[in-house]
Amino acid sequence: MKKYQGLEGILLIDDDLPTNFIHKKVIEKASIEAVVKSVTNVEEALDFITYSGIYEDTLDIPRPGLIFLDINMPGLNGWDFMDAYRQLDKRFKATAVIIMLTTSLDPDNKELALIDKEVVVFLNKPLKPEMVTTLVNSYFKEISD
Amino acid sequence: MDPHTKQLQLLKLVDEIEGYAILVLDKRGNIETWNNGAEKIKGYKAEEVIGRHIRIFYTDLDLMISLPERLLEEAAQKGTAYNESWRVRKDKTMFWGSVTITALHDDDGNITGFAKVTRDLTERMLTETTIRQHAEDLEIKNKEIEQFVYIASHDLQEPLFTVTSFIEFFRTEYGHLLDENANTYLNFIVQATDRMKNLIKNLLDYSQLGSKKKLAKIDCKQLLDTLTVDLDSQIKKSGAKIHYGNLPVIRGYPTELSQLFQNLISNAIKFRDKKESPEIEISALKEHDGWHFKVKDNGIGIDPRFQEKIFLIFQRLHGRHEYEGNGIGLAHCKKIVELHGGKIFVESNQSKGSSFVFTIPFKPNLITA
Repeated sequence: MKKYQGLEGILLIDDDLPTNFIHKKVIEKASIEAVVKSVTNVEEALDFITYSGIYEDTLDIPRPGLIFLDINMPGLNGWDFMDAYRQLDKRFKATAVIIMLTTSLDPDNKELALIDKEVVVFLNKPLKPEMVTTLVNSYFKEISD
Repeated sequence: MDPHTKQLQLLKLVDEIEGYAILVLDKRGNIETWNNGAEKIKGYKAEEVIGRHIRIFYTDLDLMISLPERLLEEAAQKGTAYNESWRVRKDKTMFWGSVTITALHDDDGNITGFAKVTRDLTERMLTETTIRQHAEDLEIKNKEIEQFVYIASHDLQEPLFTVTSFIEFFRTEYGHLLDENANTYLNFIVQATDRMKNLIKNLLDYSQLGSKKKLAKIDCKQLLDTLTVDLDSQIKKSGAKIHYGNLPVIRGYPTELSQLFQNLISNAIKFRDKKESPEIEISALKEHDGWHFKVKDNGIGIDPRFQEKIFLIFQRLHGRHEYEGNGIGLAHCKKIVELHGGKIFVESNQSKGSSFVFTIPFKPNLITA
């Protein structure tokens, strides 16, 4: 297991429970030591990031350095999350890298995501351990013991 | 015949002509003469209308904007006035009238009245409207279908991905507990999901086909030179020989056209007669309606009963264990050819094998997809 600076937590936002489960395993397979939290909607994700609602007293759970965000969700979707996230207080979003995920073969979403400055990376589902490793290595520094 | 008799004949003709309402008006637009055509089109007899103003033929709406007066004014100013709109018959029904009003002058150039020629174009008008409506409906329907296919295939992928992932987890975490039978089951599940994945991808490709097309000049010979390099391994493996001489430079959609040739060549190789190596001949003929391309092979041929069915999406003629595929290649071809405004069909060769013929019009850009 490898530890990375600023990557104590990873947040998965996807309305599909099995997908969150799979992604959690994929991250495990990539041997990254981080607390993986998964939520199934945008509201809960924002609450988690800002210590609001049911997450008011959860200072012990590390906040994400990496957010995997599904674009296509019922109700508030990935783009809505980005809009809300952009308006958050700086202290909540200082270090997070956001990865937008969508089902492959969708050219238009890709074009849109590329023009959104705060989306650092855009990836096609399914997520693979190698993809996670590459990502983490390019955005975070490994902590050697 | 003396000129006077000729004039009388002309008058008689005008009087009897039925397809046109031909009337003479006085300076103010009151009716002076009335022919058979006028009676037929508008329903009035001569004695009912002579002396009345042409306003009686106009709808309330046109009267509100003083259309008859404006047309008479225009004819007086410019010599002639043309108008198409709904007109009213005696029985209050409407017809679509095409009306030309021409000013009549005396020897000194003063206006003495007008000649008015009216045609009933209701049928043409209705036909045009119907055709236009059909075209619009069709366009909307096509957009809907494309959207539907896109969304459906998009949403279908996620659960499929879930199944694939969990089979993998199952294998890695519980593989050691499974016997041969259980493994066979899993293999079948994997095969089915793989096939489903391909079907969805093909369906999506099909719906996206031509959505970003760009018209350009295409050197067909050059296109085939490149294509045969791309298909090299397939060609070598089958021992196929591909012949093509001079091919034209045409206007079309390069990516799509290349895909079209690729599909046809791949098919010719795939459906070869196992007893001999495939011979594929590609030629083009200039005809009045555009270029006629022919891709001829010596393969297994196609039963005439299925020569139309093969172009439908997901239609296959052979079992999956005989020839693999999803039955989308020729549907793609058809869509590409139609994108160019052409047609595609298959013919049986006299000797053996089949020939796919498709047309590409000289000006594909005139056809809007």
